[in-house]
Amino acid sequence: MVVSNSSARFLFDILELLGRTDTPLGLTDIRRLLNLPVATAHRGLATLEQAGFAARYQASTRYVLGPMAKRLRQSVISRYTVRDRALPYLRRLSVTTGETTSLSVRIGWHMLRLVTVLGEGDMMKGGAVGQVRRLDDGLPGRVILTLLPDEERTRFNAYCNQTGTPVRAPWRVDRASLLRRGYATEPMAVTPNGAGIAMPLYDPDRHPTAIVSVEVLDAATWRSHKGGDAADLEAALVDLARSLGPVENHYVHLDPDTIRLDRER
Amino acid sequence: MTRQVRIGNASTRGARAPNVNQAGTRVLGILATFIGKSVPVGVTQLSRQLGISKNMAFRALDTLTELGYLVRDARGTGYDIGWRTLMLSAGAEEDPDIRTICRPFLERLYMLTHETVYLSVIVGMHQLVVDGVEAAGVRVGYTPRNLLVPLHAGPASRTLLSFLTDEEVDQYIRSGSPLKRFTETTITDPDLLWKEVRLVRRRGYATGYGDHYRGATYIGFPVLDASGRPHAAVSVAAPSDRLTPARLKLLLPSILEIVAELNKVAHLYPAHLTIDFSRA
Repeated sequence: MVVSNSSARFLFDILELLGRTDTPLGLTDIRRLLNLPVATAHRGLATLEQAGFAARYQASTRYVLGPMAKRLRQSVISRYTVRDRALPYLRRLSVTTGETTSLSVRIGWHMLRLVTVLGEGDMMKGGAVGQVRRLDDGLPGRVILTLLPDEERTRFNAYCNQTGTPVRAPWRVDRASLLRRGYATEPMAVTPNGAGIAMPLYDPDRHPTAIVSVEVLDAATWRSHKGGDAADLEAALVDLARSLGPVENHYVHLDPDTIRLDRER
Repeated sequence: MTRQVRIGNASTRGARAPNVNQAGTRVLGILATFIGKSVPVGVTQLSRQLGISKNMAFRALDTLTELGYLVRDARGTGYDIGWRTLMLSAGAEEDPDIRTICRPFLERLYMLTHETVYLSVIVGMHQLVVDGVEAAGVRVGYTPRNLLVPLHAGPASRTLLSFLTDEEVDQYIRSGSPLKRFTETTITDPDLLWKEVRLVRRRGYATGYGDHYRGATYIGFPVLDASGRPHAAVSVAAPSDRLTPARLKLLLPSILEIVAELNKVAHLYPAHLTIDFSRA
């Protein structure tokens, strides 16, 4: 029988605590927040620091995630070869439309943002690479949800209830329109006159697994001053999907209920 | 038997480091081996690579799999990096720029060579130095930083040029012709430049011929993304009487080791490089 290294687990509690806080944490903060004895917290930090997973913030006594932790996270993102394949098309789309384009993939009941190419007028930088959102949070995830079979959507609802955060309403996207046009649009909550456009990409088994998004900051300006045309954009999206081909999904063999990426966990 | 487990820049050899969790160190070391891996890894391969027993590797892998930091691959034959690593983020971080990625490695190259080390990127049809560590005493200066050098002159430039696509190299030669001569050894003949490009690609680095400046020895190395696109070039430069061929030969294996480590990190990020020399 193989006995796991259970004594190492608290290191990952410290690591994830450093990952979910916006400010550097000191030994006292870590000890208090994780309810650890001082000696254990101290030893944990020393172990993580020595291995490069935690680092001192500006040579102080407070800690942030170290380079190894960041590289590890980036390794998941770089496993998706579709990121590199999609990048030239997203750049071209961003240059021709002047808008921010992005690519996200489904992981369990969540979407992971793999690429963001900022548009010329976009200073908001809202969606950082590596951002994880539950499927009902944002247009890309809602498009995936819309395309899932009923039984999977029921499972998603059960998952949300189980995590204590029920499904955000309303999340429905017009399925008939989505299937007919191949993409969905909806007004952007944060930008008046803005619109989000999301087009699904599929894995080799034709499961919806990724989303290309365009965030049009001002639909009226785009049409009148940049010569923007919905038909041009639609053609560019269809061309992108055709050129990329099927998209891999590394975690499709895992039960989505076991992939717990909720921050509020 | 002396056991060695490499973790990041640290390594533990036999003697125990004070006040660290030994099991934790081993688990983190195993997790670190998955950085940049594009294919699943088996237990046997891992135990051999780290010089630890299979049982020890199993225990660490079991812990990491339970936590979600690793997953069994779809075939069930090996382990792959897990979804839980996505929790290691403060949420609003952006990709680091190439200077941030390269800086620690520039410093390591300086500590190794005690010579000027600099970082260059492509700007239009030129190479531009954007960072560096300048040596003390008689040295090659990496400033002025705003000096634009054509992509056919000097090893940093030729390193960047060589790792572009064939079409892009052709386009550069067409758009840049006649290629500017800086010294009598500047490569201005298109056929000879192509020969040099192929040599750099094959060898993995470019050496200087006094083709941009005389009196100094330069050597340039590519920093590439996973698809082979250049992010940047790293160069080491010194007065020729100090960085002699014999000293360079001695230093080269260690330099290449650091550059390989740098590239392992650089592979994680796509090179945001769009080239159109026809418009330059």
